[in-house]
Amino acid sequence: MMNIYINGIGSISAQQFDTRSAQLSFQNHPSNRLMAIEPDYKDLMPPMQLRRMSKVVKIGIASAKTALKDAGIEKPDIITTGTAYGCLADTEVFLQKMITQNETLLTPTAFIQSTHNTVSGQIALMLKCHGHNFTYVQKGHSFESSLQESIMWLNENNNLHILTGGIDEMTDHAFNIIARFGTYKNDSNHYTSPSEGTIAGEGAHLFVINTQRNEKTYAQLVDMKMCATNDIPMELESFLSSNSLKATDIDTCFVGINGDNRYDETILNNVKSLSNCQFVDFKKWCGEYPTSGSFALALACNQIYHKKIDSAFLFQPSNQDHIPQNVLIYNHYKNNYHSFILLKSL
Amino acid sequence: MFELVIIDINDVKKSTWLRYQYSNYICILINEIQFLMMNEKVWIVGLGAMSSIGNNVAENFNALMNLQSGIGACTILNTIHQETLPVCEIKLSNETLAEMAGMKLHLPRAVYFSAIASQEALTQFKSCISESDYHDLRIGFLSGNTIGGMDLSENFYADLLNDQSSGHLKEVVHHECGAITALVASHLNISHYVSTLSTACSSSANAIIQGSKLLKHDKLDVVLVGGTDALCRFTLNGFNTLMILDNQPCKPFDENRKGLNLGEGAGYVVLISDRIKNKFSIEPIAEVSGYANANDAFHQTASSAEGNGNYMAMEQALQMSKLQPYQIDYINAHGTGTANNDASEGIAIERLFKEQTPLVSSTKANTGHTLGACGGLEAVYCCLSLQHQVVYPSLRIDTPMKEFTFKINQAIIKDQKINHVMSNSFGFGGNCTSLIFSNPKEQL
Repeated sequence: MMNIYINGIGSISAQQFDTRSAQLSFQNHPSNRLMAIEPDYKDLMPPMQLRRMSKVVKIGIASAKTALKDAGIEKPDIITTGTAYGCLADTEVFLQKMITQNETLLTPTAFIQSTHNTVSGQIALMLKCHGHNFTYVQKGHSFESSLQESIMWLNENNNLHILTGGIDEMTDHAFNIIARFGTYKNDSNHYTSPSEGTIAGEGAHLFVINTQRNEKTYAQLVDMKMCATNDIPMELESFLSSNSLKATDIDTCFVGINGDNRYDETILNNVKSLSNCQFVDFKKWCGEYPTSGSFALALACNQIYHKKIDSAFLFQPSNQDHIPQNVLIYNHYKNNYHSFILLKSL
Repeated sequence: MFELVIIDINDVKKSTWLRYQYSNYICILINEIQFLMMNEKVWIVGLGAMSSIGNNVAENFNALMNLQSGIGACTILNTIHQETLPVCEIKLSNETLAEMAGMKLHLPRAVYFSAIASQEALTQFKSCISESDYHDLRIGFLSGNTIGGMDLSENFYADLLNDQSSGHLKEVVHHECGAITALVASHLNISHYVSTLSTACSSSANAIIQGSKLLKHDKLDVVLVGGTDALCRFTLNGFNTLMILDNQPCKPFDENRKGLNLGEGAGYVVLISDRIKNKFSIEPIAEVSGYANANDAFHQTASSAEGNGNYMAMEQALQMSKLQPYQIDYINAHGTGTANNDASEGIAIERLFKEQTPLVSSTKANTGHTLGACGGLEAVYCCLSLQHQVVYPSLRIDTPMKEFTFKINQAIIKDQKINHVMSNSFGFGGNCTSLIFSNPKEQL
């Protein structure tokens, strides 16, 4: 296995998040839907193109550009991303017109941009990047599928620069529909209330990863795994042992609990073997969405880079900052699509 | 002095103790083995197909050999374009499909196609090994798909627009592309690896690439790869707004071609690694000898005039296969029938192959453009071409295109040796994929 490093990050989420900053001031929004804070796009893309783009395309491209700039790379060799929902807004625009206009007098723009690989394709177009370009759409394993592919690429060719990440938008219609499945809390409740349902989120997180360590490297990406079974304690043990680690070696775990009392206890139980470990419950900051693992990776990288876990992020409040060394991200989506990402501080 | 210790690499991977014991040696060993694995061959051992020209592989092959096409009036999809836009529709109701697939009702159509074609491919592979051996294998499922459960979501959305609280949730619960794959994976009892690629018209060809890589990296022993898509109003109207649908049966590579006809269906192949092939002495149908994905980076929906992305994908696939252009015997082209695609693809083929252009045809004249399924379906057709040593014609060419000098194949060819076949799939977002399949007997 090659040593793989995370060298650039672009993050757009419900938080103002400069991934190089040592002092994060995240806001706890009392809402059941956290919306991505969109950056000023002026410096990132031409206004003509900006007008035609939906939110998911804009946040995807902006995040990609930020990640590349952060890593000091103009053009990646490979682009591979994950999105569970794809381009919801454009899909809805076309669908709505198709229905209300009874399949007549339609225009192509929304249809063209509704394709699931629009974000990856537009990044390639903007960068004139002719390299391999994949988009995975497997619910809670969309981002993880693309990350796994990235690691495989670097094990084949250690000269590559890979742009990988997870992108999902939430629209009003989608929020209302998903809410009807009982996924989200009622308006009055937010993350901290112990009740059924979680809070919705969205975001775009892109990463530049390669095999070259430098002074700006955030962390080493040691390994990752998409769990094949729901026996998570067993999956965790085999994942750690395949990386020559014991459960007690993990000192920090970013855990995907989301305030939904139907799942949180199970999720925490799944990792109770990590007895020597501080937990960070990241979803209170980004909300729940299928590619939220990419937010966890960005936050973990930021904290590892500054060699401390801010006490504000710890699940069990502490007066002391905690030093991360072997960091595990454990995520899931509705107690399904469990995954691990293992990081190491340098 | 050296001590020779023979240990199973899988034990090394599992055992922390072994790693500590032999850490230095094993590191070298693992890297060596990793390197060898990248060069390991990937074999096709099962085929499954469902399209407007047949419900299984044999029916599809017969139809191709009898120059049949599935193009006709749209009768199952409820659209205002039923009389005006011909499609390649599978003339089976959802009830019949559910029964054939052995699945419940009210699932997206793409699920049924996928389940039926997957089962056919998997059954062929299962006949090569014992039940107990099958259960010990690490099996994955990687499917391409572009519209997910849109055929049902369209109904749901119409209700929703009237009233935010109306519409049956069962019509939208499987909306996501990933839901299609998850439903079929669970039906097939596959859990080791389940994922979906959605890169428009190259989705299922890309699933074949990534499936091959998962085997080479020893993540899996067996992987079922391909794709599925069903006709729906969303895509029919979408392509109609782009003005690239032919209101007559399409004529790929004809000088006067007017556009494509949309189709539906599914195509899957079962891939196994060299290790599994040797362990169970399985006779493969074909080898996946080359693949590449490149991006045209020209326009969201149109191909560059020079076919840059197409050229790069074909060139890199050839490089990987270590074949020379003249060794390719047949190209199953993307050949949609649109003015833009066929010109760019033809020019890219001519630029790469020069005077040594192999036989070229497009089977989309038979099946229509099945979007997320076409790479899988055409991979099956390429394997059948190798198996039966035949090349299919491109139907309905009256006036061959004048942009390039090579001739598009218009007849069934039976008297030529077919050892290496290339399959192209190009999609929106500049996504260009080329695959090469080779005759396994050539490899011995």
